[in-house]
Amino acid sequence: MQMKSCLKGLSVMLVAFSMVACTKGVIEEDDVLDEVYEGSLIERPLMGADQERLMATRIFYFDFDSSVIRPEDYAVLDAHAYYLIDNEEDARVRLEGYTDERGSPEYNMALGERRAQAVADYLIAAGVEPEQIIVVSYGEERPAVRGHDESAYRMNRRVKLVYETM
Amino acid sequence: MKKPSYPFYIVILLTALLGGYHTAHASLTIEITQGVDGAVPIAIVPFQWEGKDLLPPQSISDIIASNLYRSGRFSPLPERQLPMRPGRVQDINYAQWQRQGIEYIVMGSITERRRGRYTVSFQLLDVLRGETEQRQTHADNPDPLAGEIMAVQYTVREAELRTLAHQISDRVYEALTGERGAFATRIAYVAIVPPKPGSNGGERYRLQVADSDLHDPQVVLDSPFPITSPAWSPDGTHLAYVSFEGHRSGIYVSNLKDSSRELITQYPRINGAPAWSPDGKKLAVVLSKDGSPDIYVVDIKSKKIKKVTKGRAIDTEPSWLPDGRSLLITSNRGGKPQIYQLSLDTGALHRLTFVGNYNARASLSPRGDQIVFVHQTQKGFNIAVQDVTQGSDGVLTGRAVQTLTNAQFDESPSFAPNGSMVVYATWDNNRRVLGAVSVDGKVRLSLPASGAELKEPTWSPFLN
Repeated sequence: MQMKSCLKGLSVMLVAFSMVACTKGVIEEDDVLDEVYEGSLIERPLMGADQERLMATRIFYFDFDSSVIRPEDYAVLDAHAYYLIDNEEDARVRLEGYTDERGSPEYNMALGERRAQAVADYLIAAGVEPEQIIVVSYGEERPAVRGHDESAYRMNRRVKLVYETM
Repeated sequence: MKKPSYPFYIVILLTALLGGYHTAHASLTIEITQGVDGAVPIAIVPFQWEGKDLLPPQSISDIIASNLYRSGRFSPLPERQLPMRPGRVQDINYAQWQRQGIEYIVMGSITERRRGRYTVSFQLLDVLRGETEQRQTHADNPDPLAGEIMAVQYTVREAELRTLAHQISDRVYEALTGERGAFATRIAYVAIVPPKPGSNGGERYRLQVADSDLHDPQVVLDSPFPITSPAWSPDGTHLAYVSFEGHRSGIYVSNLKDSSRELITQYPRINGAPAWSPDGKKLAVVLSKDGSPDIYVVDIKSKKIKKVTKGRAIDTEPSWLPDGRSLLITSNRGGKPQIYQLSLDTGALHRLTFVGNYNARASLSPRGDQIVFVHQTQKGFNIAVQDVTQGSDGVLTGRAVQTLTNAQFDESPSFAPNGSMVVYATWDNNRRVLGAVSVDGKVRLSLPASGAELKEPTWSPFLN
């Protein structure tokens, strides 16, 4: 259901983008832009069918003691951001922050939130309304992989993006 | 005669004890790290049993022996090495016990009065004094009180026999060490129960409360969502904790008597790390609704919150000092997590830890002379204590740091109410288990539970 409405949104976008592309450098079709972006002037690249493929990725990994989003995740987060922008009325996302098991659980709760917040900040900067995002940190709870070595920890330092049903 | 091997004996004894409750996989690891030099040799004679069944419902002597052993202060004599099993003081040949190096004897009886009602009595005897007093009386008319330090009788229901065994342990411990015992206390913790093989359900989280030896666990809350951060009210009647039900964190308080519970805070984002004020009226908590984790004080009745730290740094893990006027917190405002003391009167922060790059989750010992915390070492994360002194302005100053544990990941330390031991979470054979260590680091043990992974232990206050 959500995907369908997403693709519908995309087809509108494609029209809008082709018009922008035709008048590159001479932006006169203000009314068209306004209609699509509703006042926002954030540039967005053409994604087309890539968006659906990109949006299949919903887990983002982090380095040890880091809440910095990896550059290879930018395109995926952009795809989610555009979906959320296009479905502002009915799409909500929950960002679950997680850490590996090392260190104090409560402190990890805060680190997990830093990661989820980094993803939230990225989406908001891309134009997603803050009201569409819920941040929750599980810290070291609910590890994706049970294990006590770096190969497990790497999979557990993550943010999971979950579309909430309304 | 061959010297007794105490650790081996205790492994056998406790495995036998666990057998009644846990499944066959239960095992116990006790590691005496620096020997039990100075541990007092004591004999716990199996209590005489009078009742319909072959055996009493609880082996009170076994519970007492394992309690005293776990304290690290006593070496209970293996049962098979007892020189005799006296039923009365008059039957004791103190000289024989003295030759075997026994300093004290605990003996007693359990009598079933009517179904489910028991009279339990015990005596604590001093071998050296008993030997002297026996020598001074005529063998035909032995002194029934020779060597007696203490004799107490109780009447209890069957369900109270374990608690009674812990209370007797406390009486013996206090009489012989001068320090109040903490065996008749409880430990709250989180159990993560894996799904049954073949079922498609996920793991379950259980908030549990067990005896100080982890027996008789009772489930306070069972949930498919994570439960974290249990904290005892100062009177031991309530637990505060965090539950993630519905994918939202919330701080709840459960009444342990009637199982009723109340939601205290459920702000957006983190609701975490509740800690009761010494008067039981407030909780220090962590909220991140303003963007980064900060410490707040919540009035439990009105739910009104007051923010007490600010800034972009992570501030978390509050614990109260006994005067209720300041908190110990973990903060990374200096770049790495360290322990700070936060004055609630002035908002002033004083850094307390300077050794190492990672110090977290501190609490003050009941005696007020040490803090215990998680300390990153070369090996990993371990439990450490640091001596502290409190100035006239109430500000703590840290001194030497001593690391008490040496596994790879030790966390969530919590003092016993008498300050003798610290319970903490650790790993044993790739499983999350609870461990305990004496505050001098000399005795360390872990109790694996079959079936569940255990986390975040927190020791109750004194309950009687």
